[in-house]
Amino acid sequence: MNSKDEELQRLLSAAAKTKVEAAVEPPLVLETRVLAQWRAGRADDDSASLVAFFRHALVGASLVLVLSAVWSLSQPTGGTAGDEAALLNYEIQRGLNP
Amino acid sequence: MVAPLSAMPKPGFDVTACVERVRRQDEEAARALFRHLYPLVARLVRSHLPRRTSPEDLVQIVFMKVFANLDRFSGAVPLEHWVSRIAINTCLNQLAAEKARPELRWADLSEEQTDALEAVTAGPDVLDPSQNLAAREIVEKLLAQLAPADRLLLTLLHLEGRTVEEVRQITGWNVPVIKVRAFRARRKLRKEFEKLMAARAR
Repeated sequence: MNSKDEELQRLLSAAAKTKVEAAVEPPLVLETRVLAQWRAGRADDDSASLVAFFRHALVGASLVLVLSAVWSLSQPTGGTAGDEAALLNYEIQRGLNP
Repeated sequence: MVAPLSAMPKPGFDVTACVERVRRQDEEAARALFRHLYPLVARLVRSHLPRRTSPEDLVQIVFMKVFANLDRFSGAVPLEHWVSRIAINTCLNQLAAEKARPELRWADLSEEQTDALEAVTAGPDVLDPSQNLAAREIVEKLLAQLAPADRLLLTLLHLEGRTVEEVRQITGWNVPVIKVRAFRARRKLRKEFEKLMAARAR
């Protein structure tokens, strides 16, 4: 070890003998700030879960809408009878107004 | 010397149960956890404090990160180690943001500090114990010239007297990385010390 290393080591050893003072009890202001932020974070969590709930509800509702549309289109409607009535109506109209 | 990390948990304080209660949004548990961890976080922040940030602000940032990520704490390592890593990384990030590192000049030193340096260079056992604080201030000024990770490592090893294993637990770096970084950081510190002493000679 050369002289500069020794000097540096002496400096470090002396510095290490000085303890860094840190309070054991947290300041009340800091505790209040931290807990307030913790509560705010919790509220954010709640609102995030509410948003997630609405998102799921929207997806569910859309799914129900699509299924209903598919179901209604695939069902046989009373279309034949309706068509016949319309044809008769048309014939009558033509007969009245040639 | 600083108490080893394993000695941190207070007897009678059930950390696991407290963490569980905080996860269930129990405010009293959050308060208890904050009070339990505060001395550890405050000491780490004061040891590795960036110049332009107040310790209280940094402690607050650390606790917000701790609470925000508490759900991710698996319990694989002691809570104190996990919190130490968050505190250290927060300090490192803050230090990295403070890029400018003004050069240390002899004229920047106080009379007590120059006296301490003279005593250090005069020979062994010349430095009086009353000059330890001045020595600490000089070392902190020298460390401020180094990169954040180097500064952290030298503080843990040489000022706090931590073992390599403790540094591994605090930082999460592996042992060879710590040893190599420590060696290089010490060399850089020596260079800064030599620069300062050369300035005295001029």
